[in-house]
Amino acid sequence: MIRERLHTSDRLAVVVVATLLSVPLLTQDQYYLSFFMLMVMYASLSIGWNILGGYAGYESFGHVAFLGVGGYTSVWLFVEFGLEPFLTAPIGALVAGFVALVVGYPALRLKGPYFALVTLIIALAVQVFVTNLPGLDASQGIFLSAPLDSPVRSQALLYLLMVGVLAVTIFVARCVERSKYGVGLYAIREDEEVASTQGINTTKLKVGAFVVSAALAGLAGGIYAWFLGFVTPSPMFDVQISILVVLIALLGGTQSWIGPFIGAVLLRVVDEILVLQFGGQAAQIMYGLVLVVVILYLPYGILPKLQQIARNRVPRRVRTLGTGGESG
Amino acid sequence: MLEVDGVGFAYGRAHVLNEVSLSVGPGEIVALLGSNGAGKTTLLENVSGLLTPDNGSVQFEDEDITGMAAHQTWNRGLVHVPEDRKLFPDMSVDETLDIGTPRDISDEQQASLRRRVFDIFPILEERLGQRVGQMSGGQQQMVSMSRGLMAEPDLLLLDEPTLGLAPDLADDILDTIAQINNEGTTILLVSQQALDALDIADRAYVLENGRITLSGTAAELRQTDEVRQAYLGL
Repeated sequence: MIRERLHTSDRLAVVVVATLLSVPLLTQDQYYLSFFMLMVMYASLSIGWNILGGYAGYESFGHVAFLGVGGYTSVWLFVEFGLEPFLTAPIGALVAGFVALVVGYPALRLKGPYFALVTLIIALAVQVFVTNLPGLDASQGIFLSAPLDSPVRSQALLYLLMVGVLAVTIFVARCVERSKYGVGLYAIREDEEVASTQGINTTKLKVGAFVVSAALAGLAGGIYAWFLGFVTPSPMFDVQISILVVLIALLGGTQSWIGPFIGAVLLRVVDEILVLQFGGQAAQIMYGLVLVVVILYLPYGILPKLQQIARNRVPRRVRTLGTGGESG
Repeated sequence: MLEVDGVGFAYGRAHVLNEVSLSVGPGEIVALLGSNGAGKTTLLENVSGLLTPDNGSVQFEDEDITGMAAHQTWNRGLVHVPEDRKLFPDMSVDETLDIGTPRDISDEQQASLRRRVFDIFPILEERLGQRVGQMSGGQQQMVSMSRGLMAEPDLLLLDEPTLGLAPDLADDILDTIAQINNEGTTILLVSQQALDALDIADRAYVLENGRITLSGTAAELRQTDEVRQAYLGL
């Protein structure tokens, strides 16, 4: 039941990535590239977040910390050593994963709202730590001094790299979903104590999921920083990103990577329309409303609802004959 | 095989276990009897590692496992089948068996473990694809015990396996427990249904308010007036 409902999503992943890769062929327009860039980034962040937040039910409100760590690492390595994003983004991922390993052990002893609060605070602490590192002068922000006409500053190329990050993220999420680790994480979400009586090393699994999830965010951060052309605390450690990442996953549905992807597309499109029509403030209010509506009417997200509707359209005879697969 | 020595445990200031000592020898079925709130489940949780005793020690096969994490005692062959079955309702029977299986065994070993479980509970083989949340209480108890058996336990801790089952179903489950024991698994059985538990047990302990107040062979305990009055309803 847990695995069955995932089997359709492989081909979908290929279609999604191929479609997104083709965007720069259709338009090189700055506005559209920016729009798709943010959509792809939020999709990767949210799919990565979901590995711990969705599969294991540990909802972190500090995911932006790892985006920021990845971004700052990436830019700093360029400024100091002249390294390019192909190299620095993976290093940023490693650093973010390491940070998650260090903070994950104590934080993951907490559950539910306590874990959410602690991760929120950890993100703030990481920001303060990074921006006050001696010699980095990071609180002022660091600008990428690479010439604008160098290929690595090409917005289209950076967009393609971000789609690459998304592809990696989906791949990792798929691997986790299918593996015994995925079932273990699911068991942790349902009842951690019982999971541990079935020989599941819950600490190892949770910390592992946190590290993987953070590393994926770090990877995205490394590319995002290059896309922006600078890092400052405001976009790279913005608490709103943390909240959006959670909201996107909850909106879409947390059982598989498809939910957060749908959530990211929807929220980005809605946000863009709202901002264009009414300005940023209205968009903020709408986010709040979306959250309320999701919690009230779609506690499991949009995807399970869609699946339920699709199932109910299957002729009755087929349904009663089927043995498995009925659970959404 | 299992030696519990002077274990004490308190939830905050509520002392649940006081100097509890008991032992389980290889191949035995030992019943742990007692009324609601006597501390039976707490004792099992102290043994399997879900809780850490405040004092005293737990030895399993000559190794000190006091305070060891639950997944580690599981790795050593001490498997706890919790009260209330504690299944994951969205999982199929198939997946539930998978989650109970040691991670490092070959496909052949896994197949033979499954064979053994299906010999004991034939109905599960027919219901492999079913969601366990949709099964009856008796079937869920079978799934829960099978999940434990997939780990090839040397010692199985069974917490109230007959709770909430119809009397004839409960009898079936107890017969099955005896069968599992005959095939070589040692069992520590917690039950409120004392008479039924004593039918299959070799020895038994009675736990009252966190203390062992009586112990002996099943036959002896059945003759004891206190047990007869307090637990057997005779």
